[in-house]
Parts: sequence; structure tokens; C-alpha cells
Amino acid sequence: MTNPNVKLSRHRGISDSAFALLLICPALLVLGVTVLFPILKGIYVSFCDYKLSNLNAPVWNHFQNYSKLFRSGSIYRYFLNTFVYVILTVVIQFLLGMSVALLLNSKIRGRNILRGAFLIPWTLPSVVVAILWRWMLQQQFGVINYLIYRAGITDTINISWTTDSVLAMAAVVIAAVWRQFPYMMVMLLAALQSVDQSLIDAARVDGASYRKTLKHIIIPSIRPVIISAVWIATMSNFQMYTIIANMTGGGPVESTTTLSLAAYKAAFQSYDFGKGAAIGVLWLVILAVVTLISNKLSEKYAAD
Amino acid sequence: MKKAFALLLVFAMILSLCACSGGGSTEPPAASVSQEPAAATGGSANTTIVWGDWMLSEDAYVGIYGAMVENFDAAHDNITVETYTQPYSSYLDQLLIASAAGNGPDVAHIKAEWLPQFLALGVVKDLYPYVSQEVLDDYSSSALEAATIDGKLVGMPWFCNAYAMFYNKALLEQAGITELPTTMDELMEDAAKIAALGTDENGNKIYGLALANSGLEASEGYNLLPVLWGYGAEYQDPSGKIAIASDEGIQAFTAIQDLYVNDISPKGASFKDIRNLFGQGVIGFYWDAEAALSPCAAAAPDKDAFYENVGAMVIPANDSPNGYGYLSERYMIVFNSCSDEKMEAVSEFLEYMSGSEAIQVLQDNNQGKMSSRSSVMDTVFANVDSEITKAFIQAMGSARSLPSGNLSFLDADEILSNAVTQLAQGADVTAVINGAQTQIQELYDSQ
Repeated sequence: MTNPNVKLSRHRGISDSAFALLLICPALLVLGVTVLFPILKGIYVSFCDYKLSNLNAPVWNHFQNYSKLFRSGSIYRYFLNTFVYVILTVVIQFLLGMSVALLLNSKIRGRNILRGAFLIPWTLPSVVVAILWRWMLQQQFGVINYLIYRAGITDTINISWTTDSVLAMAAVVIAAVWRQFPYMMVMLLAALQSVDQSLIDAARVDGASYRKTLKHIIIPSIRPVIISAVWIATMSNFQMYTIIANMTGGGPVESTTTLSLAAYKAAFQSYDFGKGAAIGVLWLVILAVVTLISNKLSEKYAAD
Repeated sequence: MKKAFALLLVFAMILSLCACSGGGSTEPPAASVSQEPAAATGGSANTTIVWGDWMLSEDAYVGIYGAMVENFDAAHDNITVETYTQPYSSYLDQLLIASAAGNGPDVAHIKAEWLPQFLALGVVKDLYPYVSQEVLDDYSSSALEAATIDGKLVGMPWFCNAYAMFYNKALLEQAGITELPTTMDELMEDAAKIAALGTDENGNKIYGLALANSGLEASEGYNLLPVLWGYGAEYQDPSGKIAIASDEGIQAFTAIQDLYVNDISPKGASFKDIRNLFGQGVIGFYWDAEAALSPCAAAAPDKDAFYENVGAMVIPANDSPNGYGYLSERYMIVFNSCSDEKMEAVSEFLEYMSGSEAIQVLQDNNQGKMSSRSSVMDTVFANVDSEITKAFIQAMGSARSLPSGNLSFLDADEILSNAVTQLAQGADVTAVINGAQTQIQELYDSQ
């Protein structure tokens, strides 16, 4: 059956779809100016010699910014640092978040108080978390050094967390996990509370162990939430700047310099905007690939 | 009709968006301290100039620097000074962006090592035509030479922080050190003796000589230059080539490595950490600007006892009885966007701010800022009682300017800092310093 309104609008020379397009014009314009234009400008600049001395006249230099990054080998280090940081942070916060969510989903005493207490780190700004952990891990005054020394874990009270490459990465991962795991926990807890209890009861009646119930009923039931939560955590950590910059500044000797820090330092410390943009574009490509994989996974599980 | 009305609204919105993205307001800011550069108004009757300084965004300093402006305003009926500020962490970036767009303040306070960035942008005005000969003659020739590029006075030397060495009298006494070190070798030996004391009565580790190496703060690299100079090494040779890997340079970096490896210096400490530790009485020697003594004292359990227990001296050197500190110089630069009509007022402001009256305000507030104008040193620093200040005045006499003329100096600073971090981890000195020298040279060559 034909819609009389459509007929009417066609008579007046404008279709509903054209009308709708015109209505969203302002939003498209805003998006174009604030999102698309900077991305395109960034891609263009990444192929240019663009420094303070030629701020108003970037010079096209083909792939020089990229070739310098790959020739020096620094980009591989930034990628490796980024992947190590993201994988460690997301995996640990998922395991921790899942464990706590399962705990809080059971009938333990003080459950509501614990739920509130676990959320506290999430309410703190990242910069506060970074400074807090920097002080706690400080070589001379840090409480962590004192505690692990007292516990007999180390034989020195003066561990320098920020001058050792491995410990520095561990420090930023610990701080990031502490700040972020409550979000993961909340997402998973909400999902756990929506699992059909009758399925779990039926499994128990059939003699399934807790591990099997978890593996075959609970986790499949909350899989979409797990994918979303892990995806969000991965993205936010790919972009992490605040905690790393304020705890280690990317050091020691670039061992915690991730792509975000490298792009910032190139653009706003060395004022080599072309190099900074090139790092940004490579970062964009990686994120696009990760997004694609995530979408495929989501589609696959949705189809299942 | 409804659709036509809706479309009309849409286009009205688009037009309003375009209008918003057009020019900005030309109204001057209402507040006296603004985050945005104010649009200044000119005019012979009353000229408004805008002065930028990050100090105005810091609670501890806004009163001091604000007082200098108030005094100037009070003495100049026809000139009004408005202020522009940003927090220190973003000040340089924001000032570069604003000045590149022609929206910067008229005058801005900068560190000498930032000057190459502004010169690269080509936004700085030559001040020679505007500063009186009397004032120019008052400056030391080296200060004017450092601020003169291609025959242009690109920055008005304002004040400088001379770096000298603080020491903890009690720790020196406990370590059996009866005479202050006069060479860099002696300093290293004394530092080792102090560190050998082990811990204080509260179980805190005692350090002999502290050098910042947190990787978080700029200047941790060039803060090591007094060690290089002390061993007779240079950052650059006479032809301008980076020369840190000379035999003397390797000797200096080996000494620095010993400090970290043998726990004579704390590892990974920022300047702030070191000030706290010095205040708590667990560091024997460290160098800093005089103004840093206040934060040190703030961390001390007993402020009065701290001030009694602290001394200051010139950083020693093997080849010079006067030792070498370094100067962190501060300039006032004037942007090209400042109209010629305002330059008379700007000139008065610059001469006032670098003069005795303004520097006296800093001195009265224990800021320890010295001047390269002889009239200022003769009046403000003529009758100082403080032994600490006297040591800094002495340090000023032999202090060296930072080799900060290259656009990549701040990157070089980070490379040096990274190199020292590697040394602290026990890496081979010659390999690391040769690598750092090559890296810095490549950076300089690429400019």
C-alpha cells in the first residue's frame, strides 16, 4: 500500500530520504569538521616535512616520515610496548574483574559494601591514580617497597621501579589494572546477574561441577558482554597516555613508550608534527584492524 | 509547509555554525589573569599590553609576580598590563600555537632553551630599536651576546637562576669531611664517604651526591653538564660538534655511573624527590637553584634546624678553582603581533621588569634570581647577609650558560637522560655515550 505522505512529498519535489538527509546535515557538518577533517589533515601531514620552521607551509616528502620510523627501528619498539601493555592490562583486569564479579555474585556477607569499595579506584581520575602509584612505588619513600621488604619478598627496601625496564612496565600495568578493573567487574557482574538461574540449577541437578557450569553455561551466556567489555578495555588502553606519561614518562630508555606517548613526544616535544602524524596514522591502521577483528568475532558469536 | 519550515531551521543552524567558526571575539578579557591571550587595545592615551608568564598560574608565585605587575601599573598611569597564563606543563605548547596564529600575548616570559622554537617560528621581534642605550650598556656583554641572533636582540635577558651546590653540614661532619671539596674528584670521594654512612637513625638510606634521573622532567640531562665540565669535558667542541664521548667525557660519565651503581645517588629520583630527601637530611650534596631551598625546607622535620644545617658552594671542577655552575636564563620576548604603537609601552615594561625594583621583589621573596644588569647586582645584591645567597652570587661569577641554541637541545637533554639511565643499569659507558653522541649529532645535523 502506498504511503500518501510520500506521494505528497514527491509531488512537491523532495523525497523523504532527501528530506531526512537535509535534516541531518548539521550533524554531518559538525562530524565532518570535528572528526573527518582532522583525520584527513593528519594523514596528509604524515606525508609532509612539517615542523615549527614551516608551520604554515608543510612540504610533501612522500614516505620519509614512515621510512625514518622503520629504519630507526623505534616504531617496532613502540608497537611492542603498546601490545605488551595492552595485553597485560586487559588480560589481568579481565581475570581479576571476572573473579571479583563471581565472588560478588555469590551470597557472601558484606556483598553490597564490597561492591561499593571495589568501585572506588574507578572514580579516581587517571592522573590522580598515576601520581598515587608513583608515590607508592617511589624508591625512597614508597610504601610498596616497605611492605614487600617487610614481607621478606625482597632483600632491599630501595627497589627502583622506574629505572628498570621490566619493573617500569609492571608498575604502569599495576596502576592501570587497579584503576580499570572495577569497570570490567561491574560489566561482568551485571551480565552474571542476568544469567538464567534455571540453567545453572538444571546443570547442578545433572551433577555438573562448578567449573563445568562456568565453562558451559555461565561464560557462554555472558559472552557478548565479555566481548564488549574486553573490546572497550582494549581500545581505552591502546589510547592510554595519562597513567604512563605521569608515572614513567615513557622511560626508562623508552621501555614504556607506547604509540600514544611516542606520537605526543614527536609532535609536542620534538615539534616534528609530520613524524607525530605518521605514528598516529600507523596507530589508526592497527586500531582499524583490531576493530575489524572484533566486529567479525561479534558477528560470529551473534550468528552462533 | 512543515518541511519547508524544518529546512529553514536546518539552514539557520548551519549558518549559525559557520558564524561560530568565523572570527573570535575581539573583546579583551574581563579577568586580569586569563587562560587565553587577551586582545589588547592600543592607543596613546592608555596603552594596554599583555604579558604572558606561567608563574601566574602557580599559587606559590602568583602573588610575587602579580606584585611586580601591580607596582608597574601603579607607577605608569598610561599603561595597563593584562596577564596571560597557562600551567607550566602546557605553557610552551600553548604559547607556540598562540604566537604562530598571531594571537599570543605581546610579551612573554620564556626559558632560554625555548628560544630556538620561537625563532624557528619566526614570531619574535628584534628589541634593539626599542631598548634604551643606557639599559643595554647596563647588561653584561655575554648576556646580550647570548640573546643576540643575526644581529637582532631576540629576547630581553630578565633574570637567571645560577646553579650552585647545597651541602648538609651534619652529614659532612659525620663522614669526617673537614674541608669542602675543591675539585670534582674530591667531590666524588666525599660523596662516597657520605654514602658509606649507610642509614640514618630512622633507617633511611643516606646518599652522597644526588643527581635527578626520573625520566619525567626536562633538564635532567643537562643538569649533568657540571660533572662534564668538572672533568674538563665539553658538550660541544669549538666547531660545534657534539663532544661528550671525549676521554674526559667518558671519565665524567664513568663517575656518574659509579654514583648510581654504588648507591651514592638515588636512582630514578626527580628534582622534587631530591629536594624532599635533602630536606629530610639524607643527601650530602646536590645542586639546584637558590629558590629550591624553600621546598627542601618544607620537607624538613624542623625548618630552623634545616636552615642552620645547610650550606652552599660553587660546584667544583678539576681545572678551575672557581668551579662551574650553570645558568638557567630567562628572557622576555616580544612577538611580531605586538603593534609598533605599543612598543613604547612594551619597552618601558621590559626595562622596569629587568630593573632593580622588580628584581628586588623577587629577592624579598627569597626567589634567588640574579640579573645580568650590573646596576641590579650592585643595588639588590650589594649587602646580602645570607651565606647561601653569597655562595650563589659567587657561583654566578663562574657559571656557564647552557648550550641551548639548537632547536634540538631539549631532545638532546632527553637522550642524555636516557643514556644515564642505561649507565645506572650497568651498561658499558663508552658504548652508551658514543651512541648518545651519535644520536644527538644526527639530530643537530637534521636541523
